[in-house]
Amino acid sequence: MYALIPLLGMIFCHRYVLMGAGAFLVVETPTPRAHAVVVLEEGDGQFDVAARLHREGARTLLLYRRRPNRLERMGIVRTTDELARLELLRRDIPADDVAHLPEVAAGRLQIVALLGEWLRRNRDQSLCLLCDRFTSRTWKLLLDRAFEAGTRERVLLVIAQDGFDETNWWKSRDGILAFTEGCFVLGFHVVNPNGEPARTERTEDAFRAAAVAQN
Amino acid sequence: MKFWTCVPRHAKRIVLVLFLIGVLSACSQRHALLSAAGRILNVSTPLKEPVDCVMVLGGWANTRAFTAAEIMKAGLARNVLLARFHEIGATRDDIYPSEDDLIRQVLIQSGVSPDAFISLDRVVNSTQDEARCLADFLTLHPGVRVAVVTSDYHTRRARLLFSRACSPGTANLQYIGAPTDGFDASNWWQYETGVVNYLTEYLKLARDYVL
Repeated sequence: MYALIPLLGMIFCHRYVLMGAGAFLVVETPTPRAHAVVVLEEGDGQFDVAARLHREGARTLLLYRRRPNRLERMGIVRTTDELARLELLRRDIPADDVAHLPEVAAGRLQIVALLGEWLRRNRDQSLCLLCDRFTSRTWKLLLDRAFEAGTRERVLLVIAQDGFDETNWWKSRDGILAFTEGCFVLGFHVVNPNGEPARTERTEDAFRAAAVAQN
Repeated sequence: MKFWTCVPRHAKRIVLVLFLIGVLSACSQRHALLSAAGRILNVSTPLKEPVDCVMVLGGWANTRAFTAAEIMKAGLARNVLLARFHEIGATRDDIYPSEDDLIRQVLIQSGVSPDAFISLDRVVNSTQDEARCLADFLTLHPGVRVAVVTSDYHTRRARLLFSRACSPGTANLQYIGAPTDGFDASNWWQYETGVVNYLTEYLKLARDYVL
């Protein structure tokens, strides 16, 4: 009989439980004012917010570089930083205001390390990081681990993702996918504070072995 | 709860000890368990005999299209079936090629003739859509043998959805698993993308079994 109480609670209050779960994954600075903006993730919302923050006074838009993948090396798609640059130029950001972080980043931990380096070299500047809604808690965790108290205050987190929020994410496919991904990514970084090992790319032989039975 | 209060104290202790042994052995054997969980998702087998067409599922064109290219290069298929993929913002603005264009370009650059492509009409946005799209094609072309190329961890769910949609032509379908860069069933939990993809795949698999 008592076991039914939580079950009934879930049925009648599921909206609040889901909202609470969503809200747990979200961290945001209410009124961001920073010297530079970093576009951390892809998506139209990120570039729209970056352009707005630029109009409101942020002078530099920082992009990070990734090691080009197979498609980028073949020239079939543009590199992610080139795509981001194009998206920003389309939104009337002057090319001189778009800059790159100096080194290639292979994951979230390395991006955070590069941001730390940038903050050390620009001690009077602050950064506004644009991220997806449900990965913001993960970014906060990584920033808190990497930066000391004085530096931490110079980094603001801004969510730049449209379509759903913590009050309605379960009503759309994109919202559910973003929420589950946010949970898994956060879980991964809680369990693995050192991040992930280096990734190796598959060779042509590996694709052949997977596709065609060898005699 | 009442049942638990009636259980003698020594029996409760045995249950507790067994539970702890279970947890400890799961912890000590976690790599083997996680690997096994990864392998469950993969039901692919490399092609032994020729098929008529290859169909590359959307997403991960960085690996799936290259696996399909190997099938074509080995002469094990004549045609490539291409669905039309739902466009995202950057695709509409010509900043990023559409998914079907991406697959087409990889295969052409790998030496596949442009005449080998068969465009399917339906616009797809999920594996379910792709299964329906192939089902439409197989209704018009019964007996055609198709190799469905997708990521290795996605083959079990693809098989489930394609078998449902394409019945009774299921026997003519084969599933080829493209390896992903960096991780596979033996180490997926060490990589962020691996954790996200494998766990999400399990959730989607559960949903597709139920619905």
